[in-house]
Amino acid sequence: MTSKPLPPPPPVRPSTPRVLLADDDQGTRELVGACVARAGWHLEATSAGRALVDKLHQEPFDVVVADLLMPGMDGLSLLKQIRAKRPGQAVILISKSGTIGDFVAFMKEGVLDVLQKPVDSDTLQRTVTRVLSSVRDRERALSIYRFATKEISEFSFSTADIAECRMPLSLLDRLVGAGILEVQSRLKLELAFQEALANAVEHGNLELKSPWKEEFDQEGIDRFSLVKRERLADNSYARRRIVVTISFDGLMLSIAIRDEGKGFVPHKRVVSDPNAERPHGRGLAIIYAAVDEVRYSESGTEIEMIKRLPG
Amino acid sequence: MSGDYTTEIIGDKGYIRVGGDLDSEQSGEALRKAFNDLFDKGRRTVVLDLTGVQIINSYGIGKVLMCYKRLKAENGVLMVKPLQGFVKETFELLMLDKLLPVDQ
Repeated sequence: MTSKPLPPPPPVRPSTPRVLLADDDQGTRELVGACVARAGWHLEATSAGRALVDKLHQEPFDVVVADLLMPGMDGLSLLKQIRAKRPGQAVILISKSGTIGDFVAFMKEGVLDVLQKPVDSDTLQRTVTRVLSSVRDRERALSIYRFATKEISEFSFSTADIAECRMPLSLLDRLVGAGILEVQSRLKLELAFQEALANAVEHGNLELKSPWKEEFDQEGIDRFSLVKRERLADNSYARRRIVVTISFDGLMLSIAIRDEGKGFVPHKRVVSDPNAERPHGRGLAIIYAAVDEVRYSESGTEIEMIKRLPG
Repeated sequence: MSGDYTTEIIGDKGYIRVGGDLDSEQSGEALRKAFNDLFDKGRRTVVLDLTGVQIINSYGIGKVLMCYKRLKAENGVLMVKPLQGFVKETFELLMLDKLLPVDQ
């Protein structure tokens, strides 16, 4: 048996911590600059969110320190753009007292801490040091994943449970962190998974029909949404199970979703007719664009999506 | 996350700025309401600004197409602001870029 060659390692970070700062206030930039210089770290500073995102496109940084309120881009939009390019990027926000708003939303977008202005240099140094330490620990944990040879996870939900929550694919984060999967492929796989899961829930277990999306009541609400709501409250539908099996063997990633509906035959991919204006049927095109192979069980109650990884 | 949806009327065009991802029932419903607001005010040229959107799935696309069809039924037009990133890629994959003109 020939051994699989190791994938290339993720880029090696230089030993000197690299900090990227974005703040439109010169006083804050000077204070942070002085703090970083004392600590012997490398600092690059910008005065705008757009410039920060552009910088992240060019090179990696250990920590981003960003003002929550800068002209031209609100904090949440900035965080989403950072996360799109660097999913695991460590971010510390700086905000004026009383402007932090939806703190939970920021935490979900990767913010590890928030400092309030005026920034105290000792607090800043302690916070950045702590965040840098956790970043290093996380990278060490992820890099070991290059040597993983097999992983299988299985999840079982009721339809009611999975219909209203988002199931994250944490394996994809680990594969990206280990340099095995590209960020863009990860995004496509995540979308494909959501599409397949929605199909299993809506067309599988809840037995909803796509044409109902074009039938409206007097309030402009489509029949698909109305019947979905009714059936999620009906235990004969809501208790049907969805089973998700995710497996990785070093060369191949497989995501399988099984439902307890009556089974359905997938329509052909909608990619050839730009004038197809019906508001349904495009999910399969998204799935096929993300993976290398799609398999269906004979009963039509299980889909398996396969992505081959660089060996 | 549905985010903020803001609408604006400039001349004969109605603009909808979508502030979050278009990938859930909640976000689809928010888009529907914003669209209805402009449509009920008589706007038959509506421009979607999706620059704040990172992810759009078939649910969101379905809602966009619903807006398109309602306008088309009244000789109206649905347009989009220049697309970028993954949303642009998704639109091109599904050939929606050929259906929805760009408002520069």
